[in-house]
This record gives sequence, C-alpha cells and structure tokens, in this order.
Amino acid sequence: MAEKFSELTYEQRLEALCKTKMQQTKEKQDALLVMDQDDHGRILPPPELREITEYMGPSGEMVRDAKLNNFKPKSNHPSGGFFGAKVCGENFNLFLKAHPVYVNPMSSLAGGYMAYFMGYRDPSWPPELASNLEDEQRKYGIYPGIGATQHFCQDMTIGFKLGWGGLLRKIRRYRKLNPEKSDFYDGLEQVVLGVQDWIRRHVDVALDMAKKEKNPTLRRNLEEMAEINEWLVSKPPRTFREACQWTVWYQMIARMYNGSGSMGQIDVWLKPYYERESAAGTLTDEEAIFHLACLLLNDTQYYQLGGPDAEGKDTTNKLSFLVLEAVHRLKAPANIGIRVFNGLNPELLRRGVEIMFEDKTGFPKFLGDKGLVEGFMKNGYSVQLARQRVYSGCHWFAIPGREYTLNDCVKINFAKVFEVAFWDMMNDSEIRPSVDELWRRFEMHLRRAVEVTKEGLDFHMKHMHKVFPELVLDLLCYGTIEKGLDASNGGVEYYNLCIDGSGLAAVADSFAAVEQRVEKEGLLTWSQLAEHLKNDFKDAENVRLMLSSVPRYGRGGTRADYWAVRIVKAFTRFVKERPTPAGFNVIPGLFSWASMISMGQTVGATPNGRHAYAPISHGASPDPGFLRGGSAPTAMAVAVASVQCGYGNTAPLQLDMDPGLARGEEGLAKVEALIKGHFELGGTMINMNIVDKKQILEAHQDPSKYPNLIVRVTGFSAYFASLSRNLRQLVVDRILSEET
Amino acid sequence: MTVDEVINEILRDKVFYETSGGGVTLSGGDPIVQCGFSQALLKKCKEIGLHTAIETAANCQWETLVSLLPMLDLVMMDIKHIDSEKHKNATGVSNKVILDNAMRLSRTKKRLIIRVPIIPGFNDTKSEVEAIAEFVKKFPNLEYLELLSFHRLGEGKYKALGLEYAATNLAIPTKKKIKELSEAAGKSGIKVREN
Repeated sequence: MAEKFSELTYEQRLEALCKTKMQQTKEKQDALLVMDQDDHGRILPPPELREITEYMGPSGEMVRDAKLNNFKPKSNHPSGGFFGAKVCGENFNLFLKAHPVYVNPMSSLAGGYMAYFMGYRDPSWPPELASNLEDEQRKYGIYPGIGATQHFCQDMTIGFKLGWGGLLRKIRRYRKLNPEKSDFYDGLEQVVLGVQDWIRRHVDVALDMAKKEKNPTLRRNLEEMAEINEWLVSKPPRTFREACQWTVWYQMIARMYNGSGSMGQIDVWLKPYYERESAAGTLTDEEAIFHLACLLLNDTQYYQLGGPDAEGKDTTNKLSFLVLEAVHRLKAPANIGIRVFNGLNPELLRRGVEIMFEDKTGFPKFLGDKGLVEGFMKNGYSVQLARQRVYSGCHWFAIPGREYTLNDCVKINFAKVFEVAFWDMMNDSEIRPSVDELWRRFEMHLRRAVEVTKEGLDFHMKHMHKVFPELVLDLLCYGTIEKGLDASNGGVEYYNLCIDGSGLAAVADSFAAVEQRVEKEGLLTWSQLAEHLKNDFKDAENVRLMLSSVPRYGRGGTRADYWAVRIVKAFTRFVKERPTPAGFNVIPGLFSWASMISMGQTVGATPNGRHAYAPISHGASPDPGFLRGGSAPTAMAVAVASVQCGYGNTAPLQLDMDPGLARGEEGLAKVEALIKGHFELGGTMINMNIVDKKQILEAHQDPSKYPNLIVRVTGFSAYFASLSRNLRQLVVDRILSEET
Repeated sequence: MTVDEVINEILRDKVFYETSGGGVTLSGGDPIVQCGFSQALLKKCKEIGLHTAIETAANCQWETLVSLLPMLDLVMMDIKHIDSEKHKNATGVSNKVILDNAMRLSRTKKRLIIRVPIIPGFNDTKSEVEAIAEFVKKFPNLEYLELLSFHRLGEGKYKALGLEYAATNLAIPTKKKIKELSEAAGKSGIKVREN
C-alpha cells in the first residue's frame, strides 16, 4: 500500500510509459494488421468510438485504419466530399471536438492522438477536376503527387512566439487586410479555435484526475499539467516543459490533419528555454530528458541535430546530447538525423554511432551536409539559405516556414520506363534492336515521363489550395497568414518541387545484362530475350540466372555501375533542363519510400533476372546480393555516392550492418570513417540498421517473438512486427545478402 | 588479376583510407608466398601514396621479407608458440625461422605488431602467452601484441577446397579467457590488445 503512494522517479515513470507504448503498439498491430509506414505515436480510439475501414496502402498491401465513429464531416460537394479552406477548417474543428481527451498521468505532457482526418476525405479529389495525364502517368509508373499533402516544414518558433492566442490575433488582423480571402482565414481560425477547445477539455480532465489521484508525484504532475495547459490555450510557452507541450499540440494536429511529421531543429528551437532554466536552476538535465522522452513518445516526428547555422557555425549544444539520450532511454522508433559537416562537434557523431551499435534500433540517421548544401546552391541559392534547409522528413529537407516542396510525394518508376522503352523498340519492325537503340528510347521515354510529371505538378499547384489547403502548416509559415495564401498557392517564398526516381538498380543491371549476354556474347538474341521476359522466364531458369549473374551496380567499376551513373545523369538533366511549364523549380532525388512492392507490381520481368511483378530495387540502392561473398558497406557507400543527383535532394545510402563491425573504440572509429567517407564523396544521407541475422530470420518467421525489434525500413523506422510480410521480406533479403 | 586491376579495386575505397587513417593490407593465405606480385603491388601503392601493411606468418627466407620492407609501413606477423616442438606438432613446421625473422624485424625501424592466434588446447594458457610476451618485450619497434580469438570462419574455405577442416571440434575461447591471457601477457610491460 505504501509503495503505491510513494514518490515516483523519472525512471519509473518512463518505464511505465514505455510499457504503455508497447501495449498500445500490440493493440494497433492486432486491430490494424499491417502498418507499412513510420511507427506513429497514434493510439487507437476506445472500442466504443472505433470504426475499422480497409483500403489499398501505398506499399501494395491492404491496410486497415481506425476512424472515430462519432465524427461525420459536412459535405459541400455533390460527390459527398468536402473541399476548400472554409469547410476543411470547419470539419477539422468538428473532428477535434469529437476527438477524445487523452491524459496519461505518468507523462509530463497531456494529449494523445487517435485518428487521421484524411480518412474522412472521400473522395479526396474532386472527380470533375481531371488532369488528363492519367494515361501517361500509368504508362510510366508515375506517382504524380497530385493531391499530396504536407511534406514540407513549418517554423516552430513562430508558434512559440505567438501561442495559439497570438496566432488567432494574427489571423484576424490580416483577414481585415485581405477581405477577399475570408474563406482561407475562416479555415485557419477554425483550426486554431478547434485546438484551443481541445486543450481546454484536457485541462478539465487533468484537474478532475488530480483530485482523485492518490500518488503524490502523479497528483502534482496532473495539477501542473492542468495549469500549464490552461496557460497554453492562448499564451506562448514560458518554460521548457511548456514548449514541449506546445509542440505536442501542434504536432498532433499536424499529423491528424494531413499526416505531417516535420519538425526540424529541435536542439535549436528548444535551446533558449533549456539554457534559461538550466542557468536559473529550475530545470535539471534529468527533467529535460524526461520531457523530451514524453514528446518523442507522443509521436515519431523528424528532427535534425547539429549542423551549421546560416553562418556555418555548429548548432550542436547540450540539448543535442539530451535528445539522443532521451531516445536511447526509450528504445522506441525515432527519426532523428545528425547533420555531419566539417565543423560538427565530433562527440555528437561519436555518441550517435555508439547509440546506433548499442541499441540496434536503426537510430540515429546521418545527414551529409556537403552534398546537401553544395547541391542546393546549384539551384541558384546562397550558402546561408542552403544551410537552413533542415532535415524534417523521411529522406528530405526543407527551409522551415519558407519553402514548399512536395518532398517524397512524386516518383517515377525507372523500371516501368525501361519496360516501355524495351517493348517500344521490340515492336518497331523498322529497326534492329541494339543496346544503343534501347538507350535512345529509354532517354526519350524518361524525358517524356519527366515532362508528364512536371505537368502534373503544375496541375497540383493550380488546384490543391481549393481542394485541401495546408491549414495547419500554414499557421507556422512566413507569408501564408500575411498574404492570405495557402503554402501551395504562393503563400511562401520558395518553391522547389521534388521528383524522385526509383528502381535504379533494376534498370542499370538490366542494361548491363543485355549488353553483356545479348550484344557482346551473343548467348541470347533480342527476340529470345523478349520471349523469356513475356513468359516470365518459364522453363528458362538457366537464362534468368545467366542474366542475373552479370556483374551488378554497386560492385564498382562494372558496366552496370556505368549504366547507373548514365541513367541518373540523364534523369537529372531532364529534371533540371526546364522548370515546370508554370515556372516551378524542380529538384531530382532517388528514393522509393516503401513503394518498392507497389511499383514492382506494375512491371513485368526485367532483363536483370527479376521476375514479373516482383518488387523493384529501392531508390539508389544496389539490389541485394550485388557483391557476392564480399564486404558491402564501402562498396555501397561508393556506389550510392556516385549516383547522387547533386541538386540538394537526397539519394540515401541504406546500410545494414553486422553488430560485430564496431567492436571497441577502433570499430566505432571505422564506422565514423565510413560515414564521413560517404559524405566526402557527395553522399547526402545514411540510413543504418545493425541487425543480428539470426534474430531477423527468427523474427520474420514469428514477429511476436521479438516485439521490440525496430528496423529502419528505408527512411523511416518501425517495429518489425508491424510490417507486412512482403515488406519484412524486403528488409530480410537486404540484410541476409550482406556478408561482412 | 593484374597489378593494375587490383589497384583499380583498391582505389575505389580511397576516400575511406583518408577518413580512417587506414590503407592497404596484404593478407591471405600468406602474401609472402606470392612475393613477386606482392612486391609489384606494394610498389604501386607507395607510388600512389597509400599506407601499406602486410599480415604474414613470416615463415620464409629473411631476404624475401627484406625485399618487401621498403614498401611497407607496417608489418603484422604471427607468433603461435615459443616451444619449437609444440609448434611443429601443431603446424607441421618448426618456429625457428619465424622467431629468427621476428628478431631481425625488431632490429629494423618498421612498425611491428605481433599477433597470437589463441587456439584452444594449443597455446591458450597463461604460461604460453607469457613466454611469447617475454620474447617480444624488448622489441623497440613493437606497437603491441595482439591476441586473436580463434574462430571458424575458415571452415567454409576448407570445405570449398575439398580439404578436411581439422578444427571442427574446437570451441571458441570465451571473452573471459582472452581477458585473462591478455592480463598475463601485459605483465611483461608491453601493450596488449584483444580481438
């Protein structure tokens, strides 16, 4: 009895919170079956409010979602959907009203989020608004990004300065100056009023819980929580804890509204609070770590630690280490990258690598400042601006509050383009097939695919603000409230739209295979190859093996490596040769997110020996098994560095390494050398996993055996047990094929 | 492969030598067995400015070893046992030439690392390791003595070559054992590392 009411330490509270997180994760896995995406901090609605729906997910698997059954949006369109700032804002306000209160007395921060607003947008795009680009988009395997949301970064400091009350006053002030934009301001106001109301309800519940709470630590915590949130309904945060709490409210509505998870430089915008209170003696490091842990448990957003400020000075400070420590204690999925540059505090990198090998949770990521900054400058920007482009998403960067990017939303499936080019050539009876002819057609179709993509981007930019504006991100941008314009519609200063290529290895290896086996060695004619591809290598396993045994991209110095570079150079040239027809700058990158499976499902057998409809290779990564019997990390690091597009968007290096690689001080130094070497060569990002092969195989057979196993799938991190079998298979194949 | 082909492979990882302070290590088997090629390759490496090292059992004529020394920054050689009889029983050869070469190497200015592969039942006792440590303790160019824990990674190679792998039944030494041996070796005052 006495123990139940004794004071609790931060350690005890964190242990309880982690246990709750695991329980909630298990609940989600049971109810939703498959979560082929970032592990979100989302909690399931209580059973009486829960409605389960099913739909086809982006990774090609049927997925389930849990909606709140007590919310039905108002429609303003014959299709039954709702479009436009005013009704989107109103509906989101109602959504928040329907959203339950969540208070965990162990946490220092109130709030938990339970549903996704986008799940109620049906249809998500007005059917009468057709781009007429669908045929070519399908032809080339283009993910056009039309209707894509968020994927750029806000500036948290705007919110910290104004608070919700200040934001409301700002909206009302500028509304008077732009009366013709009243719908937009209505939408923004509704969002702010909605979150204020939601916070108030938490205050009431926290006070109520405090009255009933017998444990003194928790009672005090609940009383503080109520007081803090009473203040934060309208006022800006005063303390470190309040700043963390303000961040929680914002990140929850950003995530719920349209999936946003972009945070940015947490060790910069929380620093003034941390330093002031540390100096005053009102905040210990243990307390700060606890608040950070509670913030991180609330949701897995994307953050950057360290890196140069606009003038080139390292932003690393004590807080950077505390953030690392918070994740280290949580051992939960986290998406935080250390920005590696010449001036980085070496202890931050060292601590990051130590945690990577100790915790084996694929944390942290490493970001290559040199490639990022030099690349972004090639678009015509200054070095100061380039340095301000911070890590805030899966594989991407954005200038907080000032840049609209559509990062990670727009993809071209190189393997599909290759397939089009191949059959285009084979079906042309006027010419003789050859590698040169195949390349010529591949270039032609790739150029057309890029053009179609650019047209799609313009279509999105023209209409998106009328369909589903960025009401939450708009709140913390420069220019959006001032001008009354959505971020997708001229509200911010910079527009740099991202186009990623996917499946590079599949195509590079295919070119090398036909060059070697068909053209050089004459082991196969073009017609025979075409037949085998059509029949998916039926009764021709020897042919398939012969094709797949040609030295592959990633090996270094092979023809496949040559083709990979040639493909990326062509892609980059086509993306950069012109802005979109409406004049938007476009930046190329290489990334698939989790779409390797769904992209592969539309592509038949390919000359690299890949079976029809099998997943295609991820982003810039060599295919697994590209270096048989050899040690892959340095080879991969060199290969991926050689295919960077070079304009400031990334082509991440995906490394899955054996735990034995970093034995002792020397081992860690070697891994650091690998990281620095890749970035020296122009690499932009490293995603790493330290995985025990035996464990991953066992977990693949029975994921429930290792509920805590966390892997960095591609850019994002997730519980292995939450992934679909197909996505788990891709991760396992990748890991098993690398021998060290 | 030709020397140029090997150099091309080597140069692919050049940036990592720079960031890690590492370089090219000739290993094997034993690179001494292909002395001519090793010489040519090392010469080319030095021309390019790469740091070079060799891992060898040094069971060869001194002149052979000497021919490579000018092109080497670091020599890593194995000493498995001080006792000649026991050495012959286990490896099939006497250790006289090896120990002589070690002595001669100690009189050069070459950076030297002596490695002791710890094999269960052969040299995994304190007295044996102490004896090796005593032998090398006066070497002025010794960087450190390195105890290498026995592993069975070579088993695959033997099988692939159709050879019998005689060490199938040997257990891998525990971390505790290696630590004990390391402390014993360290009593002679030399720097000891474990791997």
